[in-house]
Amino acid sequence: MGIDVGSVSTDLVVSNGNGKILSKLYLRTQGRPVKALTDGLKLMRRELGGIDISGVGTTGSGRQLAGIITGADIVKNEITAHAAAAKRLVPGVRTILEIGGQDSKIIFLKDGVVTDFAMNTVCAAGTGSFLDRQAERLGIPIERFGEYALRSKNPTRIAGRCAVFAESDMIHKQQTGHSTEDIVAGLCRALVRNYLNNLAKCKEICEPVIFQGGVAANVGIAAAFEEALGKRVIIPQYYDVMGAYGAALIAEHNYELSGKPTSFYGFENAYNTFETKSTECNGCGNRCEVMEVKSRGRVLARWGDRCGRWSGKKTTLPAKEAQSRESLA
Amino acid sequence: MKLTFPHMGNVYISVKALLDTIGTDYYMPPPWSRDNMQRGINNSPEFMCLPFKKILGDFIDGLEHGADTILFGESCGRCRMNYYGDLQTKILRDMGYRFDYIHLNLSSLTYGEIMSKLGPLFKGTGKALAVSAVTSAVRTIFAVDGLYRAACFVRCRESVKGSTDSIMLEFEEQAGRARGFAETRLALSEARVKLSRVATDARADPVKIGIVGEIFMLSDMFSNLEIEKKLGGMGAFAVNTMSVSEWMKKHFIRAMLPVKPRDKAVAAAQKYMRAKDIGGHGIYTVGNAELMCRSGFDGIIQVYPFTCMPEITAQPALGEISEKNGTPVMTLILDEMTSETGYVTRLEAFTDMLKMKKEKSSAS
Repeated sequence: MGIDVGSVSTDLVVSNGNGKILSKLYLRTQGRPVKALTDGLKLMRRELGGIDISGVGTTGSGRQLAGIITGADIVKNEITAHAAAAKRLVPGVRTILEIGGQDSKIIFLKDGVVTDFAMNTVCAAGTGSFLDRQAERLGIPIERFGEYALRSKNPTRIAGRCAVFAESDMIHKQQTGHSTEDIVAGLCRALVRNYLNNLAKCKEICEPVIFQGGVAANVGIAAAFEEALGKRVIIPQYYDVMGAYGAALIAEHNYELSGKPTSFYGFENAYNTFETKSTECNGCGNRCEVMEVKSRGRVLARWGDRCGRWSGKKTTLPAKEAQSRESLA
Repeated sequence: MKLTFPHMGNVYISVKALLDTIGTDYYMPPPWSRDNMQRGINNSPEFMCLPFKKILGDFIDGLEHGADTILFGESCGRCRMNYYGDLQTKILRDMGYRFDYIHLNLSSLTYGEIMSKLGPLFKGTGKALAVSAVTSAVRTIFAVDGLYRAACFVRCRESVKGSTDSIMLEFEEQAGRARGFAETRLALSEARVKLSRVATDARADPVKIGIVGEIFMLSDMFSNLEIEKKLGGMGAFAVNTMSVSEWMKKHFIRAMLPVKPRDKAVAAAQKYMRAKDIGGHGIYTVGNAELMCRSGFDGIIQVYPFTCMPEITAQPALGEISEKNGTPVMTLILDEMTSETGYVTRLEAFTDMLKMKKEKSSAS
């Protein structure tokens, strides 16, 4: 099982030993990663019943928290996870374009090995949340954003360097009477331009090129990429859960290497309550923000302190006890 | 007179020993203080670079604790560092503080300069003692940097994760308590012995990552979010090219030599930048990156504070160096940050990538 706890979505994937996806879930995180994660585990359990999980991998910005709550075997960064998934679905892939809700990445591979990558998290104009916001402003459901863009005959020019400029540019164009379709197509082009300038810089983009992440659902962006690159852009089947799929593949690989039984607490563990708390330590002037995860009055983990005063004291949830909750759930 | 001084990485260990030896009354801001950083941020121009803000915060903390004299060294490289002192004293005076300001010109640092500028501190100290104390201080800077380098070497090879970190934390505590050079040297030698006894994996062949960039960020672990420790924990051997001792070699020791040796890094940079100086330590960023790529490093990481002009100038050359040598280069730009997630993600992804590349090339 792979779990990707991102800022916008929390995805879960269960795959069998051959890398085939048995079940996948795409949930909105909505700022509450623990809730999204436990909801996901409950749904997964309902769907797959008494499936035997042999390994769990977590990724995404909430990977550490997810690892602690589920008892994951391996916790990996998003770049490695996305690359692992892309390699499996499109063997020989050279370039991965990934646009998520809060960040975007580009990953270059050669002979199955990542050779370079870049990540953007500082610029809102290159991310999905920017499109979300503009779709809302124009009153178009985000799911239909792409088809609007494709209908455009004459895309409006919109500044794409900065979300603030793009937005004011867009409003001005709107007020001068450009059609919604043309503005939407212009926005898609602006986002693609921003992405290529910020991330790809002048690096060579070799084929096959694949496009993944939540924004890959937007056909307008995919078309803008194809136009800007002059290359075919492949959207893989599981484009929206690639991080989680990659984490599952990494967990599978890890299991094959180590042969150790999983430390996964089980789906039932999701019915426990988890509390997360951040405390400012007063031990010194550095005032570290110490994070704490508790379940049923017991501390599962603490981190964030530089000196190790708190993080040393941790206990794990005993696997047996977690299983005995099953009857209650 | 009560002196205060700002932090820059581990230099405080040496400065503190010097001040204790010559018997100057001083207040040292805590080495790790987000509070002080916040004070600096609140009172700095918004677009200033991070080192300025951190140093200003330390000054304010010192003056709040009764210091009446500030000791600060700045060089006159072509960057904002040029007017750090002028601007900081103006801000502090506008805030209503009254103090004396001792300004060491670091680009022409000599014994003469040190003795004349630090004259008020050495009042009552014999000249011979003063000279020997300054010499010990310089030596201590080298010894401390040596220890941190040794820690990087051991950390990525240790069998039990965290053993190096706990030795270094103990050392920092012990050095913080030490009064004078003898106790500091004792702390240093004890830490060295402990490091040499750390159980390591003899078969470990860690990826080697060179760190280049702006000197304050590279030598200040608080500001670079402990990049050496993080990379080491991920099993990568981090080699930091910028430290105060490197800087001393370039400016203080080289200035005393009758014949100046050619600077290898500056020479190596000429292929990409036809200039001896591009401000700050930018030319060393370019030169050291090239030298390390040539000597078989697996990857290079450039670190600089947001808006740092010399490093922005150096950055495009790194792309070319990376392409020509086939060595991946990653740039990390830091500013005030309280969450490390994005930073750790990049470091981990970079290290993973280098490891996979290395495995692949050794397999074939």
